[in-house]
Amino acid sequence: MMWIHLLIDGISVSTIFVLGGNLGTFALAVISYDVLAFALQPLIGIIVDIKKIEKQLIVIGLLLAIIVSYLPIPLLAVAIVIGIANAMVHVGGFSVTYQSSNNKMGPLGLFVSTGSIGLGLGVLFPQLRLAFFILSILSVGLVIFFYKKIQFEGDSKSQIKYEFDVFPIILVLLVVLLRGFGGSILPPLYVTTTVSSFTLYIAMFIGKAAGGLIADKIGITKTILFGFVPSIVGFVLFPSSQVPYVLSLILFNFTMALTLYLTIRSLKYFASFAFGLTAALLFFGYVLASGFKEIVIVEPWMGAIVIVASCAMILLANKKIMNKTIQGGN
Amino acid sequence: MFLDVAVWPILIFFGIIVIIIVAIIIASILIVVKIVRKHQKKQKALNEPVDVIEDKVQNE
Repeated sequence: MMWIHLLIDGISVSTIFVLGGNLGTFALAVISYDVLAFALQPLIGIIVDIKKIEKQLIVIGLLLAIIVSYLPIPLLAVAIVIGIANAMVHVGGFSVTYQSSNNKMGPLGLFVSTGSIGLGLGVLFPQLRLAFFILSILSVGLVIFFYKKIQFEGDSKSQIKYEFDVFPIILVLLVVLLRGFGGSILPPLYVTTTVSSFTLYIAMFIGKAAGGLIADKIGITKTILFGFVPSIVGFVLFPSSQVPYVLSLILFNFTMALTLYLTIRSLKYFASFAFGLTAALLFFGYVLASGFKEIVIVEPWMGAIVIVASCAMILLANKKIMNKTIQGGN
Repeated sequence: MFLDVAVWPILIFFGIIVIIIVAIIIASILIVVKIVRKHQKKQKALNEPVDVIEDKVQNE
């Protein structure tokens, strides 16, 4: 599923960037794609949680993206279809990953991590569209081939007991929102080239993947205190130096798998919805930050506030959620 | 006016996007709440003791 995540982001973004067009149309296409790809995920998540159609969504979503990527239709139409396809594959892929994750954070982090590579390759090297196209066709074949092997047993409806504690859910979702916001107001202050930009995508990939794996070993609290919090150093003190900044970006992304895991634990039986909700809020945070940057001059200390606030909220939410459950945390 | 006039169209544009995203997020949360309530009602009905049901039937 990591591979599928990389491909869908790669083919989506590279197609939009290759088609290009005038600035206005291109901007509208990118925004339409982003809004549909992120904001539709909670709604698709609910459908997946109820109907259990994750495999169908992966196949249909990938096929849609493959077909549209080389169809001679307007850029905006391509962006709309690809946005919907992207949301379908994301939620479907996540659902398969989650059901085989055995309540670990590592697989969740690994799944979300490869999107950064797909995104980075698509944005910086859109000429790879043909490679993404061919690999996507092969991958659809593989998914169909292994279709019957991807089978999970769900809880029977009579066994389901819905019990939600709203306060920790709000805390975790606020952390996700802040990550989207913070990620956007903390850009590097050094001059970026194609290679250094791709390094940033690699750093995000490493951070997202490592966060879950480390948290599985040492627990959420230690991962936050010794991993996430030190990311302040690079962002606030050395935003103009590449190495400290990249290291901080790795640490900053540690929370991705953690917040996803905590949201799922709080919204049990609605795991795909939880995933979709975090994706939509992450994008919402990014949009808020884009507007914020238009009216306020962003200073590095603002990033420090975001990190400290996120740290406090995630630790409190972890304590509340883990008090109610047996596994995870520490 | 505290902001440059040129900034307003951009802010309005971001505002529209924010409204769309918030609307979808709220709609999805309301759908989940509705599903949960419906399920809880069903469960409550299933767990209702037989004598209470018999009383209800007699009263009708």
